[in-house]
Amino acid sequence: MARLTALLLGLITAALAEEVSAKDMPAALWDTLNEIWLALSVVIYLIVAVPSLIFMIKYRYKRGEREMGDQEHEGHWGLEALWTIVPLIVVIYLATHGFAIFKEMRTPPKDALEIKVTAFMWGWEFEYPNGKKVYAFFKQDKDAVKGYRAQEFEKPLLPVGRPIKVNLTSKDVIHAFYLRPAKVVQDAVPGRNTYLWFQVNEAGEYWVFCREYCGTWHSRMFAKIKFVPETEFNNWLGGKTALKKTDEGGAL
Amino acid sequence: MREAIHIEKPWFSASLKEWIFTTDHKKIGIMYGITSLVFFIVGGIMALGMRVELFNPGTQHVSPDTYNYFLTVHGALMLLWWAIGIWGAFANFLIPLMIGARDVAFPRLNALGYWTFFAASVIALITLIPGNQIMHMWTGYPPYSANPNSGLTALFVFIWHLTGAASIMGAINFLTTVVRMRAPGIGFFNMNLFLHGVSSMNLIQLLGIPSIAGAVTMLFLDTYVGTNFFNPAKGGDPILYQNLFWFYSHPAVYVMVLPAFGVISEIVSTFARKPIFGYKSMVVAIWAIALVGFMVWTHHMFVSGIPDWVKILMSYTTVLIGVPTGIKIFNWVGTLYRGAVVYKTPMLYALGAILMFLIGGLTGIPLGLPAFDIAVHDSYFVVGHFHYVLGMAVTLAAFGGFFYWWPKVTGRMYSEALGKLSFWTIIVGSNVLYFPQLIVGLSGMPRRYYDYPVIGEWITLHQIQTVGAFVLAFGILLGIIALIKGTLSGEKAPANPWMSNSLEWRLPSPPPPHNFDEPPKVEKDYCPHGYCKF
Amino acid sequence: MAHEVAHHGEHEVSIWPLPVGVGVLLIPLAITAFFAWKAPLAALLAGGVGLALIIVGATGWAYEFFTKGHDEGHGWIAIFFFIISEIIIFGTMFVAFWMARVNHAEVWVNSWIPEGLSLSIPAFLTLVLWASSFTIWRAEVALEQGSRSKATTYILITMALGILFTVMHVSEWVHLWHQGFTLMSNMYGTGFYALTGIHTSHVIVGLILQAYALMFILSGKMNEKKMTMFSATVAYWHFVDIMWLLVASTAYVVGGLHI
Ligand code: HEA
Ligand code: HEA
Ligand code: CUA
Ligand SMILES: [Cu+2]
Repeated sequence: MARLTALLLGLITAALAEEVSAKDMPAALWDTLNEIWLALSVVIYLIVAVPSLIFMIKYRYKRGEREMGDQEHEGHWGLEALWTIVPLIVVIYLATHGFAIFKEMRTPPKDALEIKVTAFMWGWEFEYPNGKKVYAFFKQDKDAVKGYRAQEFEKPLLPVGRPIKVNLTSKDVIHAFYLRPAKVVQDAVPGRNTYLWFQVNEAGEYWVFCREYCGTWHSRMFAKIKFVPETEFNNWLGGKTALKKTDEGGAL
Repeated sequence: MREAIHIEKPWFSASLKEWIFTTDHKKIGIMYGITSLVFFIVGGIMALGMRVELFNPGTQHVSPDTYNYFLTVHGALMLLWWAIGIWGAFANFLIPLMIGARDVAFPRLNALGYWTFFAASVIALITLIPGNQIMHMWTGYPPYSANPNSGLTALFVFIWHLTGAASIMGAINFLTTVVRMRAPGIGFFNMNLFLHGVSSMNLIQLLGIPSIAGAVTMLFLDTYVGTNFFNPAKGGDPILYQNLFWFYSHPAVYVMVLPAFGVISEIVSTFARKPIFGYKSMVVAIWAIALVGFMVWTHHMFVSGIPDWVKILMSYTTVLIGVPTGIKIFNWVGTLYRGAVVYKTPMLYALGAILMFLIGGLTGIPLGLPAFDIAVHDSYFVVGHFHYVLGMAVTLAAFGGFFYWWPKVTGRMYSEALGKLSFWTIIVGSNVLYFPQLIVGLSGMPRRYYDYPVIGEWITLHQIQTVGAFVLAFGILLGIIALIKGTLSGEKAPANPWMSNSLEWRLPSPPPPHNFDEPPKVEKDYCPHGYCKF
Repeated sequence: MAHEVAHHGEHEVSIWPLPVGVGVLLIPLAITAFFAWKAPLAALLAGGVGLALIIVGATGWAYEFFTKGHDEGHGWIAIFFFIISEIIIFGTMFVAFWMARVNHAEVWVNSWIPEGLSLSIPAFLTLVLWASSFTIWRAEVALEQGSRSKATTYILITMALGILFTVMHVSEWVHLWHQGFTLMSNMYGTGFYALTGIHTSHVIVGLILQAYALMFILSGKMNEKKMTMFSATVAYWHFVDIMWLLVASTAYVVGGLHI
């Protein structure tokens, strides 16, 4: 049992390890909660499973010897109170800790860079404070059907190591913005403005997925964000980097 | 005419006419059971189709629209026909037997309830005809579901209306039956826990279904008449749909699981040959779950743009449900203590259901924390969570119930060896299928994707799932064969093969058409759970 | 038969639920045919057959109940459960209406309220309905005392009042609709017609129930010993009347006030 759990834990950590660098936000906050929950669940599972297995074996039916259970054993107020109160404390603790963390997750730092993202069927419009726009959207050609590829000019740039606040809305149906290493999701709802914030500390290209079902090509509604050092980002934003024209990103 | 009906013959020798015009709760229960099982298999085969597509990234076997159609119908069939409908079968067959009544309070209404459910089934089958697909998932969120691309929304709306109407008729009927028709000596605190399970289920149906009925009616009007309920441009609000939808559909998960808890309690106490541990706290826990269940619905909407304080409030109520649920789990463990545990097939299924529900429940708790849910909402982690509670706990409990009451229903014993084999196959297959869902979900795989990019171990994790799905399907096939084989060639079942103290086992197997000729009298200290002393 | 007394009504077979069930299938199919399949002729056919089946089935059902069945008095508790779930259906419409009213108060007041909305019509409608609540109560008392002719008269008055209410309400709708205040114009229109429409549909159901009761009282099958169905009808009618107060005050007062 213990070895099995260790194996499972190993598997989970392995699956989580890649692409997450230590201080990405709010992933770092999430990780704490995840660890607490994982440890607690394993403990609770063992608290239930181990005694059950012992009773299942020890009190099994034996002809002539143990043909019927103890009919008088119908309850125990002390025990029942115990397993009401202890879980009560545990869940209240979990919810309160979660509350504290959630507050932090929902409060973008003051110096955050604000961008606007508008979702549509099936793609994303990224708008920067200076009005620059980048489009990343699904194109129903052969390449797109075969896999997930994005052209360079379809990749919005963002600075590493800086908190970024994304203001979200949608043009048509409900979508959801999910940046994988940041571990944060927020719906983009038509007629409403929602937001989320994150900070990624390692340069690289990261997946953005649509996480709310939005129709036929929901599973292809992705974008790749390129996180680059601040100076490079500023050059790009000011248009100093020589790149293809980004404004008509879609026209191949 | 009347005399002819009074001939004491068991249900299986009834003529076709007696079947389709029947108002007998036992026959109606069997009809519900067959319909549910058929649709479970249809939904399961669609799931296998999805699993085959997900075996490799890219488009291989089915187009995205077909995949989305399969997924929508898989969700709807599994929830409405299987996880809810199957309890309609058990409730119909067992409620009158357990309370010592001749039939339910309104036998004709009961028959109409079944035919309404049947009408919903016909509508579900119409979606198989090309051009009539529905492709907006079982949740059907507008504005997408009001978009012509999403398929025939009208059919979706009527699936909800008709299954809902059937459930409300059933709820009114069963609640009236349990409140008014109990045999003398059977009170609130010595009813079967199964009766508490289905009664709380029916109360939830009564209070919840009108909410979803209102929501889908608005959806229909928005789609076809041009009203503005969910149209933000003219003062409507798409989030309103989600609120109304989950106000029913969260409590609905307890509709699915509370009767399952009831069945587990029946089986565990019978085969531990002991009264259930902590009966009173079990009863209180059931009703507490049913009531608190109505105060948690926004936990499905933690990222949908509702105010943060609502999320925190509902986060507390959500995790609070873990407490009464925990009471039930611990009481089952307490029932095993100092028992005499007999390992027949139903007991294996019940114990498996408990240990698997625990995984599902423990993965539900973090989902109830917005800080955690913000990363895994609409990911495979959620898919893993609900397959543990539904695909495992509810399904295992339902199959456990089949095996447990099979002798009572058919008068024949099932095949024990095949039954046990089916249990082990299902348990192995299910875990191989569902556990990787949790892992791949934690690493970010979105749900409702018919295709996915190559990230980390995603491919391997999906391939393991597909293999598990086929093992599981084989296990279910074995289980069904074990039951059918029992009916055809099993030994004759005695009245009370399991030595249970509960009322339904005091009748011959199968029960005569009129159940009890006289209202039965139970002992002064009647306790439906425990070892039968006579 | 010795145990006849212990029978809980007529069991085993009844041919009436199935036709009603088929009707219940045909009506949604008719609506789908009309709106989604764009086949109005099929819609008419399915709808007509479905409606006929429901009417025939329900009549046969009620007839069977009154000739063969026993009145166990469970009907009252069933209608109580049913009313609870009805209240929640109304609740969904109220929620939709109120949410929009609060969230869009400004546009609502400035441009959504139609000119022709007057409070005198709903006030008069309230009087009509409440008078009918009184008369149906008198009918119930009369039937309890075994006076069938008195009960019949009171039911007829109640039905007349109900029909008056419906007719007036429909003409009010037509009037507003012609002013450009439609179901589609904005959330006030949507909420207004949805609330009042769902209420009027309940009035009509109440009238149908009364018609059935009238039929069976006149034929002598329903009497002071067998009147749970009538008590249920009365309870339902009271519910519809009380609901009207909430519907009217929301649809007309909350919606129409310029605050
Ligand atoms: C039978 C069905 C069933 C059941 C019983 C549950 C039970 C629970 N569910 Fe689940 N859930 C679903 C079916 C079910 N769920 C479905 C179908 C969905 C997806 C819908 C969709 O989007 O399509 C879903 C989704 C879902 C979400 C939304 C996720 C998202 O979309 O982002 C959440 C969030 O809070 C949640 C939480 C819970 C919780 C807290 C419980 C609790 O009731 C669990 C309580 C049980 C335990 C905790 C274990 C036993 C307790 C102890 C041993 C005591 C000690 C424990 C502690 C101290 C913690 N569920
Ligand atoms: C009670 C509920 C229930 C049950 C039992 C199941 C059972 C199964 N589910 Fe289901 N599932 C849901 C409820 C359920 N599911 C819901 C609510 C959703 C969400 C829908 C949405 O997103 O809107 C979902 C979503 C869902 C997904 C997510 C897809 C996505 O998000 O893209 C997947 C993917 O693997 C899946 C797979 C399976 C499989 C393989 C089974 C297997 O257990 C099925 C096994 C059964 C059979 C196969 C039938 C019987 C077998 C035989 C008769 C044997 C002979 C047949 C053959 C060998 C072909 N389900
Ligand atoms: Cu956009 Cu899913
Ligand atoms: Cu829920």
